[in-house]
Amino acid sequence: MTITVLPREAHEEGFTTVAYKTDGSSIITGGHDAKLCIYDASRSQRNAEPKILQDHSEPILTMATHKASFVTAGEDGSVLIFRNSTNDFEKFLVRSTTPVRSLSFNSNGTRIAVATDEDIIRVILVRDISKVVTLMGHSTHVKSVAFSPTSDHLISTDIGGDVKIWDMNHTSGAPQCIKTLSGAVRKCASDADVLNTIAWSPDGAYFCFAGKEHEICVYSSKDWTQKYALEFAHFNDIITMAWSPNGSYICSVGKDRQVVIWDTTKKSDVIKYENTAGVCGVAWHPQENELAFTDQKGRLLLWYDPIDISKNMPHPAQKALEEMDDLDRLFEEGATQPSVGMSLPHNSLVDDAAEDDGDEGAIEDEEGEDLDDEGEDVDMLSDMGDFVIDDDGAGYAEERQHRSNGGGRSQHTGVRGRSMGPHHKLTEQKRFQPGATEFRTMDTTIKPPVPVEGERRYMAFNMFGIIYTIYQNTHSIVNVEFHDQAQHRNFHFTDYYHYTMAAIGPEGAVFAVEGGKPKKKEKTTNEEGEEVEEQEEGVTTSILYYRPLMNWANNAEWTVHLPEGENVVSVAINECSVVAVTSAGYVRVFTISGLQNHIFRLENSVATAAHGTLVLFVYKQGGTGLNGEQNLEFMLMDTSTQEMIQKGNLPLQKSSQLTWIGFSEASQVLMYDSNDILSILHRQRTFGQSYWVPVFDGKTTAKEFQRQERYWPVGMLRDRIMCLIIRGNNDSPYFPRPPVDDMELRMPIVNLETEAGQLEELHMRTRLIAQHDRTEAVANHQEDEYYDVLKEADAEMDKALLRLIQIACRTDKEQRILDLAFALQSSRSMDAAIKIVTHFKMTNVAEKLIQIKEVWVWM
Amino acid sequence: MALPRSHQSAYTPSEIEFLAGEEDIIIIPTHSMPKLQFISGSFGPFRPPLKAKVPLWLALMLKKHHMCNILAPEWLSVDNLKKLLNDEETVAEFSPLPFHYMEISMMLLESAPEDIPNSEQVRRYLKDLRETRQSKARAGLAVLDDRFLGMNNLSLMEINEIRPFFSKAFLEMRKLSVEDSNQYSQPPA
Repeated sequence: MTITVLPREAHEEGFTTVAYKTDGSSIITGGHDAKLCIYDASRSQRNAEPKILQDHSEPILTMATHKASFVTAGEDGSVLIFRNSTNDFEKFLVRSTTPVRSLSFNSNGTRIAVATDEDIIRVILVRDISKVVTLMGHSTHVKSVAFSPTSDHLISTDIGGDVKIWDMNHTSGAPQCIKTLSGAVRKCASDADVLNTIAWSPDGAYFCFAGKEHEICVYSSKDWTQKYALEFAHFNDIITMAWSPNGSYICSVGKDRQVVIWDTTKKSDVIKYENTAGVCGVAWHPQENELAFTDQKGRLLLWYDPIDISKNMPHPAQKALEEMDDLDRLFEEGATQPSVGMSLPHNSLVDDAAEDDGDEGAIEDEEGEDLDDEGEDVDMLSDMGDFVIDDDGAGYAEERQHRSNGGGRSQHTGVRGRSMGPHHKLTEQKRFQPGATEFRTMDTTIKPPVPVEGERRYMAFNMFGIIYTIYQNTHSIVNVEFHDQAQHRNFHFTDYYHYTMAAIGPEGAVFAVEGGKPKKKEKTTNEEGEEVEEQEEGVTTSILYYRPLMNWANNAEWTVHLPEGENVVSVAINECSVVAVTSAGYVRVFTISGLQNHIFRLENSVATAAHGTLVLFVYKQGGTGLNGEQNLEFMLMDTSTQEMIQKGNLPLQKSSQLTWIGFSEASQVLMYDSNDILSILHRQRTFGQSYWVPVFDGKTTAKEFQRQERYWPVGMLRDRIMCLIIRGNNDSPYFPRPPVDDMELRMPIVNLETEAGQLEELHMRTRLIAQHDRTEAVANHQEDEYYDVLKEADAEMDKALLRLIQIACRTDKEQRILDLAFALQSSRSMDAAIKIVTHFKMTNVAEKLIQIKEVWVWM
Repeated sequence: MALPRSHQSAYTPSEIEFLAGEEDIIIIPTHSMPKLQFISGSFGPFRPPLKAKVPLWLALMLKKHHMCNILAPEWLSVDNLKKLLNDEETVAEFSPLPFHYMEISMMLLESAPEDIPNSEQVRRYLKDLRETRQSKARAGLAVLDDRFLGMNNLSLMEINEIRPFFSKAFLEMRKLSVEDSNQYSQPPA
């Protein structure tokens, strides 16, 4: 898409700021030459000369607009208010001795917050400028201020990097600072070009500002915590930013000369424009798909249609129309109800729709409330309705979206205001290959979309090795790398089939691809020696390809073509077999040498994983439940004996998904879900006795570290989870390959912050893992190998118990001491326990312990 | 050692490098190995992909044999160095860098540049940092007096650079001041 940007010389070179009047009729710019220029914003008048106001004596730094008036201020320290209709100077609001850095109107335009080069903020009543409220609390000069759209809160930043949130309707009467985010923004000089703007989303649910690392931090105004960050687009300081009038986009501009538009639902950048100079001001047109920005050369640049609506992207202002009308209606006393048609003057289709229910709907003015429309349910289910295809090119998609939003919000409550809760989504559990990621950038111009050339993804990532593929249009390059290179060499090969799934184990790697594509044109040489392109008949078949890692025998690799119409959907490899689950509902088991060993039926497979001689299958038992339950079951099988070891269901919370399955180093079955909880299958060797135990909570762990990160599991050692740490908004790792981290397991029990809680957790966890190890040792006849480990675990448990006994003694919990003593493993620990208890002079408890010990010895 | 006389009181750079070799660093072994026994202690066992903390000298040795990848310390990243350089230029104090930052970064950049993301940029920033700090240290010497010289966060290599001049000058100044005070304390009768 082409970017249409119209530059206009507006001011002298230097910092320039821009704003739209709230009705969108004019653009106001203020520049280094102390002039204000007022441009006609209509597209037909785009080249008309601006009206110039010269009321300021020094450079203009900031502006704020409201319905009836706009205010400007600058280095001369005076805040001037102008009438919107005539552009006439009305009065001085403030005369300050220091430059004014930021201005913000409250929602009804009665008050204005002013930040000057002082550590106080003044809130001035526009009608009577002698009524001033000062907000004190900043320790350095205030840099920016912003009223929330509801005027309940004010947020300010200072040059020391603090962000303060003020409650303007505090119960004490005076505004109060309710939260300080210290060091949230970058420190800067008070005359720095960086504005540290706080931008509120139009509905007041979120606000954002530039963080320290050239990213935009978006905070929720509900609990004042960061929800997400928009990053990796700017490479120098962000100067300012603005939300689009409907909150769908954020436009940020920076010293790196870039204008970046971000989509707030996808949380990624949509489009960028690179200017020839640093951009220092930005404003969205209140109604149109238009953006105005100013640069450090004093130019005003108008960007027409920055959002490509034809690509099903929401219009940046459309939804906001009715919302602004709402606000206006609330504050316009005695104003007549505007007709439904007038509130949406730009969308004739919506007009029609609104008129349909005009009879019953006009009074409450709830457009789009008619839920009887077919397809409305579908709209409600999809969260934004952005799948609606604009097939007739008449803006139908927007209309649908608009209506679905309107319908969603006023569904039962009748209360206006966008409902912020997530729409209930029925997302079916996706089929996945554990340890695989997806291509990031796809070329969507081709149907079906293919990855961009050179794009890569992981096909398998486990404790043994990594397989990744690089897409090269006509072929792919598959790379196989190992963590432990003492045993295997890394290798790569050219893959003409574009394998889609892979699995790796100590014996070898297995690759598979679905069939069903038309056969490739093959160049063959005919009898006359000419190259002839031949199109073979039919479609390709699904292929399973095994490549050994240890080859003492020749020709150990093998390929299997499945019958036409049957596709491999998931593969796994363990020490003795290759397992392929197919779309025909078959599980085909091959031995490592390629011998067909077994076949059985398994429907609705979701994922498979393998380790040792075990294979874990996860499959759907029935469909996704209406309330978002996934109804997943698992089956654990030993492929060497073809015995089923365990079968049961997967505990997944409503609307959470399974994201990974795997095995620990000691063959314990693991699952990781979208709520970031790692669970182990306890007592997996006893049929019908197994259950899942949570051993790690990723969200709590990240919160403890106070980091914005997620964990992408790779495997588990005896007592540590091995994972990749994923920062930012990504949900999967990318390239270059991040290092594998190990995190301590921690069961989510209560009172973890106390010493006793931690010891209890340690004891419980060690007990569970030791119990598993013991059964595993028996099952695999490896008692000797496990002997040391288990002994160590016993000692560790006793140590934890003894410390718990000591804590219990200190707090006089006699009953608990007995409980703890019962759990001790060795008689030496029991002696120690008796010693501890006697030390605390609890003779009756000591007697009881001696009794226990006697019974023990006797047993 | 063929050093100018004035420098003989100081360490040689290679001696300092040797000292820095004792600093711990995190590696990701690429070969599994049993516990390694050395005079200074035992390290390991190494089990890829589990990270391990070893002294720098061992990390470099393993790296030389392609048996590990070194994880660059957190401070040795472009973003951090950029920030430090910025601070260094604006704040009067020396920015907090590890005591052996120069030696560690030098050794890592020399023998494991592929393990450091954006190593070229890192190298450039380090050079800038070093120059800024050097000029600062020199400026600091201007206020040298006979009592003390306070410069926090100076690294060993940097101390070593100014040590010969500093100790000499300091002693000279002390001598002068003793003479001064002698003059004042015993006014001629």
